[in-house]
Formats: sequence, structure tokens, C-alpha cells
Amino acid sequence: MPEKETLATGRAVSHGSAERTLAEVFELSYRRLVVQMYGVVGDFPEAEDVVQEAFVRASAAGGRFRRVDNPEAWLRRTAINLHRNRWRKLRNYNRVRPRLEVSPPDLPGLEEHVTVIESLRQLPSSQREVLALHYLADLPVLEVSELLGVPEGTVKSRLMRGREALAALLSEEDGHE
Amino acid sequence: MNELELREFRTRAEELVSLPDLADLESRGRRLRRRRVALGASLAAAVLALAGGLVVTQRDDGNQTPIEPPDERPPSEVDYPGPVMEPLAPGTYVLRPSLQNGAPEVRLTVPPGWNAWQGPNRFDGDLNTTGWYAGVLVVDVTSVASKKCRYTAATGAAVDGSAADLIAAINRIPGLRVTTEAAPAELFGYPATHLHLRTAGAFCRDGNNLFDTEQNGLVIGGTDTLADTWVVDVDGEAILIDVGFTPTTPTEIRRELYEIVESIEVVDPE
Repeated sequence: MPEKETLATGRAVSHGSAERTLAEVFELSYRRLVVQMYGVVGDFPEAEDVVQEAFVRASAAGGRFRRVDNPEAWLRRTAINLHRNRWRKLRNYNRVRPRLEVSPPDLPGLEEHVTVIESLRQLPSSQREVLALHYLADLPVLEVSELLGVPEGTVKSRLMRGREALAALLSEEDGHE
Repeated sequence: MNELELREFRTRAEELVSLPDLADLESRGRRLRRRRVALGASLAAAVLALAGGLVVTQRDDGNQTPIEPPDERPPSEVDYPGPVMEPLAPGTYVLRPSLQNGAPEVRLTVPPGWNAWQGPNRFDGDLNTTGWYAGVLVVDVTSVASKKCRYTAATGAAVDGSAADLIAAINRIPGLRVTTEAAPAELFGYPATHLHLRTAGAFCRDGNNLFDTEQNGLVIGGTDTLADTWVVDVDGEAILIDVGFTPTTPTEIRRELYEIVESIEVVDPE
């Protein structure tokens, strides 16, 4: 019987000795990963793109991917690294291009929650990453620390500052309504 | 901050995300895999062992028809020649630690005076007396030794390709001592773990195999070799960067060794 890991939200993710097909992992994790990456990058098309690319890499990995303990964690790490790699490449370009005044397109149908993503976008990326991974992916501080390669104390301080900043932004938005 | 707002955002967003065509993603994955396998088939098979450092024996991957990939690299870059013991012209090379698992390529620059082997190396004299060895390996480890002097590719303990599993496995290899605790680092823009290793020095008649690699064969521990090692997590795939040298390796050669490491870039296959 496969080992069960219960996430903070109460949803259970099966992992352990049983190998799963890519289709099973796709069905179980694709939507979750896209939303987590949406929070991390603040850009829905980019989130979809890096998650889909992570599944392409998983498909290329073949049997080795099927044997990993936690496929969703593997895909999440791959998607984050893909995004970081792209961001590094774009960084110099962004320095010289005219600043875009428009926000990236949002997920259609999410209008009632749009202030959340708009507020997340206004945070520094380092704070947005830890908030998204902690609250949207339900990862404990230690796992966020390992995933991002930063000390636990740094994750905690970014969480604290990010929470305060996000609360201020959300209450500001509420005040405008 | 109202955490409930984030949870509600997540729940609603998950309902709205539509699934793309998995068949298309799998098709792209197969193309990526085929391209890498084809690249590897052109490497010559050779079996050779050296008596010092962490060295590699090449595995024969069979007769697969090479398909040339689109080559968008600058003309100054050439494919790393692989495990042939011959002088390596100075310049920039592209090296492939793995061809089957989606692992990326790396680009590295080599100064004059180095040899082509699975990674660039140099050595001089009798390694059992005053000789020295220096070499860089960039490999994808698939299994590690569980018994000293009695390890073959068929008897090793498999690693799953993740960085965490590889680090744990390295700590268990007989004949290899981790001399400083693993420390988090960043290498080439990716999260990495830094370890210092030292071979334990016992002599094995057929060489003390330490680990097997995806593409590059068995890696053998020398009689007394220091290794500055990084396990780099590249998009979920662990790559081992091993900077090996003997205590007698000249300072100038060590400096060149680290210059090669500093030149390494992970090449995005896309």
C-alpha cells in the first residue's frame, strides 16, 4: 500500500513505492501546479508554460520520473528552475526595453479574486515566492527553504514581511471598493 | 493578511484551469529524449582505467543511428570528444552528462595542456610515488557502490536522479569519505550542495569503482584523491561536478582546474 502524505489542506497525495503513469500525475497535479506557479510568477500564461514544460521534461525522463518519490515536488522544482532560468535570460533585456505598463493577462473567470493576484504581483519576487509556496503549495518552511536554496531563517523573515505587505495591499484594495 | 483569501483564490483558480492535451506534451517529451539519445550514439566506445583520481570507463551504448540536432551554437564551440586519452585543444566545449533523462548539456572552457577524457584532466609521473593527477568530471550518477572493491554496474544501489538521493548515496559509498558536512550552495545559477570527499586509499586489484553514470561508465576512486564536489539540481535532475586532485598536484594546475569549473555553464536544451 503506498505511503500517504497529507497536506495541510487535508488533501492526500499518494507517493512511495507505487509507480504512477504520467497521465495519473497529470490528472492529479497539473491544475494545482499551475495555480502554485501563478502565485510564484504572478503571470498566468508563464505559469501554464513552465508547468507544461516540466511535464515535457518528465515525459523525456521516462522510467526515471515514474520512480521518483514525489512526482509533484519534482515537477514543481523543475517548473521553478525553468522560470528562474528564463528570468535570468530576460533580465538584461528587461533593463533596456521600455517598461510595460499593462499587467499580464489573468485567468478568465477569476475576477472576484483578482485583487489577490494583483497584490501578489506588487510584492518583491522573493516574498511572492515564499508566500505562494507556503500558502498555495502548502509547503512547510523547511521544504520552501530546500526548494529555493535559502536558509530557513530567510524564508521565515520573507514570509513575515510578505504577509505584512500583502495584508496592507489587500486592505488598501478593500478600502478602494 | 487574511490567509483565507489566498486559500479561496487557490480553490477557485484550480477550478478554472483547463487541462492541455497531454498527448502533445508527451510527444514533445519523446522528441526531446530522441534528440539526446541520438547525440550520444556518436561517442566512441572505449574501456580504459587510470590509477589515480576519479576516472571513468566508457560504456558501449550500442549501435544507434545518430541524428544531427539543430546546432545553434557559436562556431567556436565544439562537442567534447569524450573518453579518448589525447591532448585537448584549448577552447570551449559542450559536454553531455546524460543522454536519456532530460538532463542538460554543459559548456566549459579548457586552457592549453589538458587531455580529453570524460572530463578534462592532467597527470604526471607515477601516482603511487611523486606523481599527480587533476581532473574535472561532469556526470549523471545512476548507481553507487555498496561493497568495496566488488562493485559493478549491475550490483550497485540505484539512485533516483534527485539531488537529495544522490547526496545520501554519496555518504554511503565505501572507500569514499565525506570530509566536510554537505553545505547548501548555488552553482551556475542552480541550487547545489557542496561536499569535500577523499578516497579511502585501499587498493583494489581491478580498481575501486565508486559509482556508475548515465552515459559515462564507472567512476573509480584513486589511492589518495581529494575531491571538491557539487551536486547540482538542474530542473530536478542531479548532476555531479567533481573536481579531483591528488595532494601532490601543483598549485598552478589546481588553479587551472578551478578555472575550468568556473567556466561551466548549463546550456538550456531549448
